Amino acid sequence: MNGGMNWRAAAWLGVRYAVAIVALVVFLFPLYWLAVTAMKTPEEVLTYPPVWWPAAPQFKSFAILFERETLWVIANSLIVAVLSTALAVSLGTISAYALARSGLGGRFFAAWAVASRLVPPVLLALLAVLAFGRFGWAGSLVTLVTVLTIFNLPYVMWMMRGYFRDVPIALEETALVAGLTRRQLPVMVAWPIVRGGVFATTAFTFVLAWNELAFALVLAGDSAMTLPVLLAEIGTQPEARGGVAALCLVAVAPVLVALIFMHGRLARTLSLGLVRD
Amino acid sequence: MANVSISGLTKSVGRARVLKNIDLAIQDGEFVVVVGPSGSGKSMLLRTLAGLETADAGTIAFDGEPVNDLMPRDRNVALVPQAPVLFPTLSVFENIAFGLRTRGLARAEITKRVERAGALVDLPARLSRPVRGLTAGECQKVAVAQSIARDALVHLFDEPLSRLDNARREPMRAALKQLHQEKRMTIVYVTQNHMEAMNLADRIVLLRDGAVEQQGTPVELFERPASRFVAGFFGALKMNFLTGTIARNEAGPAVRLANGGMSVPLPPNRLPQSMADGTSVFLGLRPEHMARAVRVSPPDGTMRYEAKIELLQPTGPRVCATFRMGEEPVVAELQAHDVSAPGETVAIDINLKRATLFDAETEKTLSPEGAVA
Repeated sequence: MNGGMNWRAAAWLGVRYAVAIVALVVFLFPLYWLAVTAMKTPEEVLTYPPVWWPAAPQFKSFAILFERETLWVIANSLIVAVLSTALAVSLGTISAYALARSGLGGRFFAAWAVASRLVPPVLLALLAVLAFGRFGWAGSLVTLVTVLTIFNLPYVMWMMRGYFRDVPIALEETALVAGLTRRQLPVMVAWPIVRGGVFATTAFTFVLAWNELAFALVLAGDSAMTLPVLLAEIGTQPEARGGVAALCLVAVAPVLVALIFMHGRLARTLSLGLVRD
Repeated sequence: MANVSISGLTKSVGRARVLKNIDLAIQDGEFVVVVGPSGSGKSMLLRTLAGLETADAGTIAFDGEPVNDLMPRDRNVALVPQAPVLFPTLSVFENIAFGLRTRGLARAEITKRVERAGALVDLPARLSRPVRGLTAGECQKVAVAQSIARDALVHLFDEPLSRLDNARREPMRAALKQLHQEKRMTIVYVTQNHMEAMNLADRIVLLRDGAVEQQGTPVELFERPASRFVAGFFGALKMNFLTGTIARNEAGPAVRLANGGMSVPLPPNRLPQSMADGTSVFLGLRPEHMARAVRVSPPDGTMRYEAKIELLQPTGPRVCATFRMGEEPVVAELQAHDVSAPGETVAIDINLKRATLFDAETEKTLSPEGAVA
């Protein structure tokens, strides 16, 4: 009886591991493919059936990463993603607290926040070009940062409004009676509770901004080119595939870091059971 | 610690008037218990005192200083809310210490007070633990500790024992009363439980629909209720209310019961002189004011009644016996050995000197000179 149970448990564990390994292979395959493609010769890249492992791995394709122009593009991408994320998260979090506590925005706030994502980004980007072009601001990093901040703001507000709503008003009342002023409430009461949510939202917003193509393509111009734009441009040239793969690896890296970071935080946020009735 | 004076306090939520012109003077060091059914405005009264709600009209003053426009922190009150919520990222210790840290107490003093408060609410080894996983009752204890660790002018408690199980409630109640006897804090304590009110209060304030129905010592409210509502609210056993009319006969004033036509004689001077015969009344008889007849003839002001027992509900040393006067069921509290089985007929002495008469229309108590009791 007991032995039977152990056998079953072992079998179950085996099944779970098998599924996990299959999933791992499926999800890691693109990364593997990027890495081998970057290490192939141009001929190997284009042969069919595909070469699973290059005969003589070579690293010539990675040279593109160290070209002056590429470094500028990576720097642009970092500046745009970091600045617009910082702005969107800080402004969005502050507004979300006000929204959560005042009830402004009402029941349809979520729909409104999502609506900005329903329109094709290129359309918004073209409108932004018209608007910023009037002031002669099109084609600069400042413009791109501004537009991306505005574009990601509703998402941040929506996410953070949800986190703030989970902070019970009764807790703030307890803090008021215990001796805090109203102004201290967001920092002293809400922040420790929503902190995990802010980190998760930051990570996700960063990924959105880092990968953003439409605005960057239309608004930034050559002087403020970002990584997704560069990839879109050279990605169509078959002989450049090795270099594209190398660039893609660089492009994926921060996203992976952000997601790993978010995973831990998000799990913690979700499991943070508030003490209430 | 401070005295609290409330005058003309009025508060509406939407169209509902939750507090109606409340006047209340609470002495420094007094333990005032506010009772009433749910929805009577008890919690709103506490929240208004704490400064979490703004009064529409009226004034609240601590030691003569109006506090209406002060924020909660500047009123220096402590409040245990009805459904306490703790800071989820802090330990039990830090939750209790929260209100002490915000007021800048020295670290050693904070530790001393938190440990003392924690011991009083019987949370001995829990202090360093996170609050996650505490039961509702334990959360309530932490909230009580939060409050009693502080030196507030007024301590406000909103049903602080409601989430404890019976076994834990009694010792906590005793501990609170003990603490009050030692420290003489000014306490306003809300409960729905009339026994808790009787146990704890120096003075009870009974709220009904947002207005003060009666206030006084526990004994006053029990023995001299101002209305049928008050009489029905207090007492471990429900008061019997018999419907009838005033009927004076040659033997003196009496109440003729509506169902069955039986006549219950009243002691002399029990009725207002002006009260006309035929006035509709309720006759209020407490089960505790009835006993099995032992003397040959009933004592003065007592009516002897041959009761045919229909139902027996033992409570241990005593038994609640249901019988009928006329058609109406009446409950008497007898000694357990007074009656052995339903169907028996027992002579019961009903102490009418302690009976209460209520005007059937206003439901107010009728006292001899027509004055309110």
